[in-house]
Amino acid sequence: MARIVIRPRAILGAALVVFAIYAFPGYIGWDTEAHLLQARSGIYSDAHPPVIPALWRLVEVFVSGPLGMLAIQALALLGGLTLIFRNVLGPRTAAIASAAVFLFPPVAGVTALVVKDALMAGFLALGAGWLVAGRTRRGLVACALASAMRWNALAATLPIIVALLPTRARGMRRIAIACVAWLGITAAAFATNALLADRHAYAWYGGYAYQDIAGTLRWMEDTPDADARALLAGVPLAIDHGIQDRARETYNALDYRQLTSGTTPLFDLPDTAAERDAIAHAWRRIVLGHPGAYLRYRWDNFRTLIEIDRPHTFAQVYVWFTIIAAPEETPRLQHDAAPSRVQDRMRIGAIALSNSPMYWPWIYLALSCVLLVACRRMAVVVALLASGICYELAWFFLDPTGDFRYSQWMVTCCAIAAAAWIGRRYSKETMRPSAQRTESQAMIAKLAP
Amino acid sequence: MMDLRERANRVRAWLAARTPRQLLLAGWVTCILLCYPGYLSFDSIEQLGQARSGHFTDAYAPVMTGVWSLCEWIFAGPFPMLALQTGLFVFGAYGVLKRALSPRAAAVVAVGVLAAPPVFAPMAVIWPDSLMAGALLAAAAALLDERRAMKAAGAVALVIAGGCRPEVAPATIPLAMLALPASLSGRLRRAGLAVALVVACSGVARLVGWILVDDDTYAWQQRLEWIDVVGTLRRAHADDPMPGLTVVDRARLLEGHDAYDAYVLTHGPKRVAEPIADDAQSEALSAAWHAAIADHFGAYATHRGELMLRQLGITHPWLPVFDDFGDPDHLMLLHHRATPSDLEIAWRAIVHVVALTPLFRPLLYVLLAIPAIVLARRRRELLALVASGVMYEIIQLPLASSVDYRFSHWLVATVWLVLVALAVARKPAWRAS
Repeated sequence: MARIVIRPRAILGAALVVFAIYAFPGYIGWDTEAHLLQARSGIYSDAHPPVIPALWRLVEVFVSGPLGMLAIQALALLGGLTLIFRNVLGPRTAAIASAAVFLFPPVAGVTALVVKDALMAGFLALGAGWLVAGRTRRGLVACALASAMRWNALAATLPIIVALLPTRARGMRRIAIACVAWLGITAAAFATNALLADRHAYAWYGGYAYQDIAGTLRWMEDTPDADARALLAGVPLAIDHGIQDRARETYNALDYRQLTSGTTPLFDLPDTAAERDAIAHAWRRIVLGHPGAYLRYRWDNFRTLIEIDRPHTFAQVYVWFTIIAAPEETPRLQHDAAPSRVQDRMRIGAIALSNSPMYWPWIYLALSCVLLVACRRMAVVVALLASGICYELAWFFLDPTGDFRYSQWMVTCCAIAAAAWIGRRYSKETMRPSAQRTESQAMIAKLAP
Repeated sequence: MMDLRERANRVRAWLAARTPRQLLLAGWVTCILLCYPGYLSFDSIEQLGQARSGHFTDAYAPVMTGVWSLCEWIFAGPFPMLALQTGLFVFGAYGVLKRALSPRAAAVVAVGVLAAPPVFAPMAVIWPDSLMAGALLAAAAALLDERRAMKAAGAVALVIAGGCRPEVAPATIPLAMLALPASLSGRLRRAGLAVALVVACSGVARLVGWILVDDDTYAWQQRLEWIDVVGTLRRAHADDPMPGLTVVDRARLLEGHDAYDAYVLTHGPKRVAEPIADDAQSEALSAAWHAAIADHFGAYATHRGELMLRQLGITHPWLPVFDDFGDPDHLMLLHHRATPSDLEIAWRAIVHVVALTPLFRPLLYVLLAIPAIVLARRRRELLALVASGVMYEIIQLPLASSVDYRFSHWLVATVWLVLVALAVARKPAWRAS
């Protein structure tokens, strides 16, 4: 009987079609709305990286709505995965592995939402893929784009650039060159965002800083109001007394909105530069002055982020075409869509899966550490695992709300490593060492003057 | 300077290395982007509602509603229909044109003709006429193929086309003749077999429509017969009791000289009569229609002639372009809302400018069809296309239910395809080997 051989391109195309059926024309959350409205208004705020609305503005020249952005993040991720796997596996196995990782629910679930995390993951994968293929300039541009998509992407780009930047230098010199390249692209990304921002939102002061201050106050030793007022000198408070009690009463390691709104606010939002300066000073006094309490509060946040003891939520995956909690936003968005029949079933399945252990990031964190040892001979995989772990650990200090999407890059890297390990072990088509050697020699020859 | 030239050469070399399939795909995607996710008229929105609810009426081509309903399994909204109708058009056109042109030239011409504003404008809207044009081209390409499976696919495409516009049946005879092998002798025999194929496909389309329809609204009958009855009576200045029909205002029945919009005649405060709602009224309307034609044939002929003059874009203000994503309030329950990209806005402006020229007047294509037939006489696939277009336009004379550019779209599309293909084929390198 004739054996049917499916070509790698067909496998990748099929993966893209399945993803398109699940995600078309792209899901929209609060952040997505902010990007889209800014893109359409042409006024960019620095509450989110302004590069995203700028990119979306460009995309809307050709296609209106979320589809174009969805296509960019999905194609970047799939393309990047293919380049990465082609380095360690044979063409057909690489295509199968790329498709499997691309469609892996925790990865595809975030990629389907037009959001900075998915954009960052796409560009990171593409950057890693190009760097490992010897395409230095393209790889660095993709890494710079990834850095521009999220402020904290620098934790993910460092291991990739240090490990994969093709250069003739060796040892410490090589690392130094890679670090300079990393600094360069990070600075370029930050500078681009700063240049593009038309309006300062001062998001840190009214959100993250308040969250850190209140969280640390919660775990500090009992502090009388007078001392608390001294620590918070100049900070716009919503109450006069019982400051630490209010901090304990409203404590939520995964949110900051309750601190400035609702029935029991602790702070008022800052309006003036003096108030913002006061918040920055108070943050330094409280957070840096009480590291134990700060770390205790951050552990509360982080363990929920990695799902060690998160209470059950409705869904950890976002599968709606407009903001589900605010239907009144639809006219502002000027966009609405309905799911196809197959898509509707896929969405229901995605929600069910999102409440299963498949969406527990700690499993991937632990597995990443194990795979780091198992895949130690595959440079690209080690670089990606290190990138994923660094990025995830950075959330220990940075995570505001514990969304699953923050862990997508680590999960993607872990899935890549697992697929590469399985592919290497079980596929007959796995690239032979001689083929790898030939490829490496060709790359070195290309780099030679 | 050298760098620029070198770069241009490199781009040219890259473009030259693209395969016809890649060119077709790129062109298809570009054409979709020019109107993504597809324009929706009032009727299109109603039809989408039916496709989604599964409750079909005959007010909108039920076969097309069925196709849309199937598409809604995979992608929701107008996009899959837009992709389907433009895809059938561009790949179908390629399939026909590659018989006369080199594959590369055929791909470029297929995409170019689809993007030509007079062809593109109706193709951007989710209408039966647009799907019909795509299905007819796909049918022609598939019927020309030697493989049996492709011929079967061609028959399916003919069924879809017939389901979109039942009156297209006679115009599909030239296309059906393409299915017959060249070795088959005897003109009458060939014509007979083609007619049999068309009758079979039309019968299947009608059967599928009958199976799919849940509620009969007599829409097609009303659209045609009300304008003919009222238009003929007005021209003849003759009153008719019209037994079995509810005439709201008998004075208004004879007001004015013509009647070219059945909806206005049966809806709103200025309506002449109530729409028919049952079989008895349907028979009464048919009887009134037959009587009006028989008793006042001169007035009927004038009425249809005037309608045709308007249809050809000769005697009346002409608004051939529709480019709207649909009323948001009307679409609210269907959860569809879209805005145009900059590219679409620019393209709309171009199409509107071209619409001011004779290129959007069907009369031009009736005139151009004559040289097209003469020049294409030795190329049976091109001749079949233009013959089909002309026949469909002729069918409009007795059967057009209103004045609308999209009714002439098939003629426009076929004339464009044939004339551009013939012009391109003048260069030997671009001819089919």
